[in-house]
Amino acid sequence: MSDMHSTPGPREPARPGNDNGMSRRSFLRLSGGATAFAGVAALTAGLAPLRELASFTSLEKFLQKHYKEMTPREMERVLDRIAREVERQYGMRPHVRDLKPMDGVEFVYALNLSRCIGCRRCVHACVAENNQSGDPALEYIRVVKMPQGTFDLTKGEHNYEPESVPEEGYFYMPVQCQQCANPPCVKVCPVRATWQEPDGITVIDYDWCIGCRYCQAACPYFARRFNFKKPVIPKERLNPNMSYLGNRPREVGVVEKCHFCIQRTRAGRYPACLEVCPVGARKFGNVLDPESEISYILREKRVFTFILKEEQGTLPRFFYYLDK
Amino acid sequence: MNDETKKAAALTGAAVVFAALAVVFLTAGMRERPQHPIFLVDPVHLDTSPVRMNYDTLTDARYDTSDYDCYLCHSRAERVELQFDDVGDLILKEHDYITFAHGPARAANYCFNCHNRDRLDQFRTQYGRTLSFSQSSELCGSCHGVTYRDWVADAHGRTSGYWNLAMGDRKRLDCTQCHDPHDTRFPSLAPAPGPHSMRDRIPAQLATDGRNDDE
Amino acid sequence: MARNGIPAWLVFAGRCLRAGATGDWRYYAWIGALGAVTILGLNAYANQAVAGLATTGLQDQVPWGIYIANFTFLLGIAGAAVILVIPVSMYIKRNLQDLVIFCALLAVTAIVMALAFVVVDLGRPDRFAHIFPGWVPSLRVIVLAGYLLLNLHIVVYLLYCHYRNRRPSAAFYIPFVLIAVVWAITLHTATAFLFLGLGETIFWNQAIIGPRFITAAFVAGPALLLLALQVTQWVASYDLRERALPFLRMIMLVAMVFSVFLLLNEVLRNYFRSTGQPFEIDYLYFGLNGFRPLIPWIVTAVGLNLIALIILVLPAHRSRALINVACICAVVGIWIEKAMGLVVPGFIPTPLGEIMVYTPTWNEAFIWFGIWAFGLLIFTFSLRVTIPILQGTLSIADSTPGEAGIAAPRPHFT
Repeated sequence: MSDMHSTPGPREPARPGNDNGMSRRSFLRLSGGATAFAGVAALTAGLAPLRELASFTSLEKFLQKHYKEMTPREMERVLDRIAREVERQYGMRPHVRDLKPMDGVEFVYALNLSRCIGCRRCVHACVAENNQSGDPALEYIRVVKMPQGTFDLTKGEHNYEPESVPEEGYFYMPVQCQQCANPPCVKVCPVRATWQEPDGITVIDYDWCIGCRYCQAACPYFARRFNFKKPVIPKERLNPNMSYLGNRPREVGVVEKCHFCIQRTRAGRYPACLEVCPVGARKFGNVLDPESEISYILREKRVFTFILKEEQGTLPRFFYYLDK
Repeated sequence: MNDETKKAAALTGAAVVFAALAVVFLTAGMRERPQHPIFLVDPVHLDTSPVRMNYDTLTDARYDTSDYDCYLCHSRAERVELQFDDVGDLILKEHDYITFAHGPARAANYCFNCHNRDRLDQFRTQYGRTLSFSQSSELCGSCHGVTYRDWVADAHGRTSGYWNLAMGDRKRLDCTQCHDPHDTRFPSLAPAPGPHSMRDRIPAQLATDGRNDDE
Repeated sequence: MARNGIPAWLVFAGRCLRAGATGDWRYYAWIGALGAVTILGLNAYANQAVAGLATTGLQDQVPWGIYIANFTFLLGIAGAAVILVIPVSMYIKRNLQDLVIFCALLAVTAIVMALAFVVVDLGRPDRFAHIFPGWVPSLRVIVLAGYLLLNLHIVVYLLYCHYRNRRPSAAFYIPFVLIAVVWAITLHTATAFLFLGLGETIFWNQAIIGPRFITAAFVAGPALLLLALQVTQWVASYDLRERALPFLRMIMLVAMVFSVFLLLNEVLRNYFRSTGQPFEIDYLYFGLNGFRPLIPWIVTAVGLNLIALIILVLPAHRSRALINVACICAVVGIWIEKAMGLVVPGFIPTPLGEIMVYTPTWNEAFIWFGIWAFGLLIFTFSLRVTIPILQGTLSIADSTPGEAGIAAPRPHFT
């Protein structure tokens, strides 16, 4: 910029009789043009990978409204679109529904720490039920092996692989979304793509999430997972019983998490992790029904919320309890 | 060099850099991206069937239940006598596949705590009530009252089906479908594979390259 | 005033663009280099858009990294640049009025870069519109966009007045400057609360985070500005330094002292707590369970900050070479502290006690460099336009009818 004050080359009035100056200037123009051309070429080549995004979104998807703003008819059309997409991608016509919360129902989960043997069956049943991506393998439940006598999670082990479980001197603590009554993840979402339903399940509208991962940063339970890649579900593993807010296949770049198997529980059934648990450590039900097993447990057992995070005031709907 | 030559040189240099970038981008775009194998869930880990079978499932499935037909071997007229060794352990002859680990040491090695000595194909509680083989859970409940109460409330043991009984049935397992009554500790299991972080390598035996193409 | 039917402001815009497109060989080489890095970044972003954020070093345990770190740093710069205006307008340092323009330009650049860093961090940039619920912008967007518009207004208005040789009317810019100042503090504190709101992490959930953001930005902002002035002097012999340097240096010194003091407070606070263990601080400064990936970073950051502080405190800071060293140390040190020092340790150990190592990938780094190159490109371009206007070489007086070029040459060195 030393010639801030000087006239730039091309604008300078030609000095008569200076052929050399003329040719230099034309060379300057040539090189300027070449630079512009090469720059545009580099830009085009650099952006070429974006061609693969042709099928990334469609006008239909782009104009889709937020879950809460959709009319029943619009929702029907969206469900139909999802069914079509799944059929095209996986060759199987799924049963996609939008199940609504039931009146007088608030779901609560309880997990018996004195029963859990850390076999991780729940983790894999969840993956299969909820159509989670296999690459990278995405799991909602994390089982932490803890030495007996402490709840200090930094002493826990996540990657234990012994011959058989349980191991002497340890207990096992499966952690998944705690469905907080005071959820920090919902508060931080800048687009309100995640919210708490009347039955206590915190859900995500996968078609509204912008993937900023603020909720992941806010969650004190490491419950939320982000689709860092386009999810890949083996065809033979696809669960065709799907729900809009639940286990329909997700897209790349959105957050997902445990939703108490909304496609099962809102149809009256138990979650998949509960049914697979070989020791019956997992209990689930309607806390507003005094006859339910969950009410019985909360009345009769030594129940506590996530021991390290009680001070967070998140009021989980997921309780840990002990028999004795 | 005068000013304009320098300018031209700078511009040419920029053009060369841009052109090189374009070439690099194009060649990188043509390279085939490696396909990652997909992690598959081993169906073994999805099995929801109980670890043991109770008497009813055995008969329903037409398994060999001759073991439960006590009077094939025993005589109705003759009372079974138990033999103990010096330290007080039960000496088993025919039923030697049974291991005793029910409660504190040797507390439960007396068969007729539960089995009816007078009718071997029945149970008998400590208070004298007789129960059939199908009623094993009630037998357990005659001692384990609190656990039995939990079990009746579906708070102990496995359940499956519907949490909402208005919408469907719920299945509750018998005690013996998880616990061997002679050796009551729940059996150890091999744990399913641990968490897979983003950059993990997937074990070859569990991987497939069955990528799903949607285009 | 219209000439040849062309409105004067259009002539102004055209001449500005033309001025920005021309320069000496150093300008071309610099712009070319920045353009190349920008294109490299665009290509990296195209790769990320296609393959997803798996191209970054981020994972579920550490969901934020370099992008968000740069975002917070740049919002700090944007805020600080404008807050600098307070003393200028309060103490009516008339001779520093052109510094207001520089400040606002820096703010505009920083905001554009910060927005770019947010966009590249999103998993679904195609849904960016969702932050306008029902097409009414949410508060955060109003704050950011409003700030950008305010600064653009200040810059363009002042420059246009200079161009037309008019005294800027105070009513047209002083209120905007004051609003921008308040806005800057709000914006910056709000950024701090972005982290503070995450109550799960004790590391972020401290009242000191807000003041620390502000003081650090008050060091880095003037430092960047000072460096920009040094370069301007070097290439364009536009010397603001005699007037601006002591002023910027004083602000840096005061802010640096406070910044280091608050840093010490933050660290020591954790060791005077009677309960709990400061895992995050431990991880950052001493390592946790044998994992020590951040120690080199934080040692560098603290070291650079101390070097900058020492230079600023000693009389040596009057040396122009040493003040450059101090500025570079301060900017780099604060950048590391905000990035590897603020964002990453907040996630480690994870809520479930895991320790994950976050290292940016090359693709991620290219995007990061690309956005910085783009920011420098904007800043260089705007200075290239601004300085002739301030020097009076690009002015309405010397645009003869029909010839909308740049004024007649003045003596210059080459």
